[in-house]
Amino acid sequence: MPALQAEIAKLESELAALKARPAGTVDRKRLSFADLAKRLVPAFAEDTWIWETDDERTQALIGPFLEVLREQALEKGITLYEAAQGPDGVAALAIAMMAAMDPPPDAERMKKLEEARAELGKEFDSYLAKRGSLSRLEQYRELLGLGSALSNAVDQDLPEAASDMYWNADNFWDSAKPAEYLSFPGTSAAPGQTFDKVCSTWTDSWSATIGLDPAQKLALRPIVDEYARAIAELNVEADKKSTPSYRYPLNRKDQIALMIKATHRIAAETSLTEAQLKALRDMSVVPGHDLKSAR
Amino acid sequence: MKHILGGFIAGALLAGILLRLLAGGRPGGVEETPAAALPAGRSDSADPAADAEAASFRDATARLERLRAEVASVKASQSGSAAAGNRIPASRSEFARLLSGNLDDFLRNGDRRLPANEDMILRLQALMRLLAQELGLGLDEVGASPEGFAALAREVLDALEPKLDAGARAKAEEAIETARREWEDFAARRKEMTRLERAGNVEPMFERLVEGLKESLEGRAYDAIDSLESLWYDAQPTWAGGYCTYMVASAEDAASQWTESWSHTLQLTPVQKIALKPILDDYVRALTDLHLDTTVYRSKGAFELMVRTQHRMMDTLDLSPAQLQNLDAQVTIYDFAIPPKK
Repeated sequence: MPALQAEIAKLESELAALKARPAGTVDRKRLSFADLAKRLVPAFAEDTWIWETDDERTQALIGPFLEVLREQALEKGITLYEAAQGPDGVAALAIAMMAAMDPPPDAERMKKLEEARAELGKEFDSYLAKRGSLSRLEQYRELLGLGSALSNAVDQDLPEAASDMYWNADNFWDSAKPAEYLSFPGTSAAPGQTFDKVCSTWTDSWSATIGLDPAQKLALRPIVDEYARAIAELNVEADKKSTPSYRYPLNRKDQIALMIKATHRIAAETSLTEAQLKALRDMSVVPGHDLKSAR
Repeated sequence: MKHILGGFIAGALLAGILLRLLAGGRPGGVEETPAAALPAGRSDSADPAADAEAASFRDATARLERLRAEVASVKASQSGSAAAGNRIPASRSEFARLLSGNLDDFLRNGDRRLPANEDMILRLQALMRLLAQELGLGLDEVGASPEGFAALAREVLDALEPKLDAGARAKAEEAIETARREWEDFAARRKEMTRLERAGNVEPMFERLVEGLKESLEGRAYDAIDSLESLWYDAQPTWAGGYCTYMVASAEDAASQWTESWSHTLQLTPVQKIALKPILDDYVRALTDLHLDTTVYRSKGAFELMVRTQHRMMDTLDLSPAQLQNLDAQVTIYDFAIPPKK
């Protein structure tokens, strides 16, 4: 009887939990990256379908991977991209994949990798602590600076096969991202336009995003002009490094720094309302990729 | 429709099996004592204490069975999500409420990097994955399925305030019904198609569905479906049917290069690889003719050639199940171009 009563109590408790759960959710053991890694490593060794995002076998691995990242994001109140950059995101998957190799890197190297991931964890915690005070562009800037210890450990201490596996994890994340623009502030290309036209277009689009009135829009224009001139200089720098067959990209960090500077000027000089200020802080566009052609 | 029903039936069977496993597998649980195995004639016993104990045992056993049935029933009602193993809420009605609640904000600022918009995209993608699994469809096919975009659009329209007037609603239902008939026609032929072929069929169907819906709506309802469309495109995890032009030195070069690369991706044996070459020679010849034919839209013509070539490979290369799976995953339309000589 006691065993029967215990079973009844267990079922009652299970039923209560089921009924309390929001519709459309079920209990499920969290997918472990170790399990996912065991499927990814042979897939990358086969070197065929795993590179195809549209392959349903790839998607069958991407779905659970995104689910884990998404749960982390929801738990921490951050975006998917941020979760991926954290110590439990792509870095954790990469290390799990290296551990699943045959043979894996030796124990000393695995220890170094875990130490580097722990370092990333500290950096990420500091980031989370100040995240609320940062605009979205400032958040991107901070995230770009994370994880140098880990990439150093990968570049310097690992056999080629293991460092390849690390980058495979990164590529897998690239395939998994729901859309490119979730990963990085966008650029708005303006090929073949005059400089003045480019600045007018950007003034219009920034004004719309922030919700500026006509007077504020007038005050915005010189800020856009200044930003565009600085971006044009970055284009010149990139041109110097380019070859006929390869267009050297603009420096991402420089580009973001310029846009952050512009947003600070907007906040200081255009008398924004609370709602406009919020829209400005949410702005994440970094235009200027093709400004080279605007003269 | 047959296929969809097949998908449902398969899903129901799977759910049934899972439920049976869940109900039957009780690690560390008590030994089951079927009612029939209870000692017979105990009620006639002269021992009232023993009778009471037996009654209590029967009551407890009955309670246990009722609880098991109820737990199984609640789990069954949640089995759609269980099939996809998704812990994040993903149901059409939940997403419809989310979109209608956020519509004004989304229309004001649709930047996908905003957390609220990212959240909608990720939830929509989770829903697509769930529906694909439940319906036994490819991720590319969910949009055109009556259970996909159409059903979701209907829930979005239901969730909108103010409610749609009856006339507009009837027009929207007409567009959905037209799309449903088109889907049924496709579903009847679907099993014979490669994935590329399926994708090539469902993409225009999806476009016609969305256009039909949008043409029937205006104002806020139009904005809602237009927003749903744009979120759908962002959330869609796969897009089979990409058209890729390879730069080659000559048509022969294209046939040789593709023989190598397709043999690798399909994991063909050396004998199969030899048999593939003439198929690709013919494909490249037909592509060359297509380039000269200005009456045919090039990518559409190439799509048809590619599908025909895939069927020829299936018919002649004696592919193993794994190789067939690799062929089904070949969702790019291959074309070539020869750069002009300087």
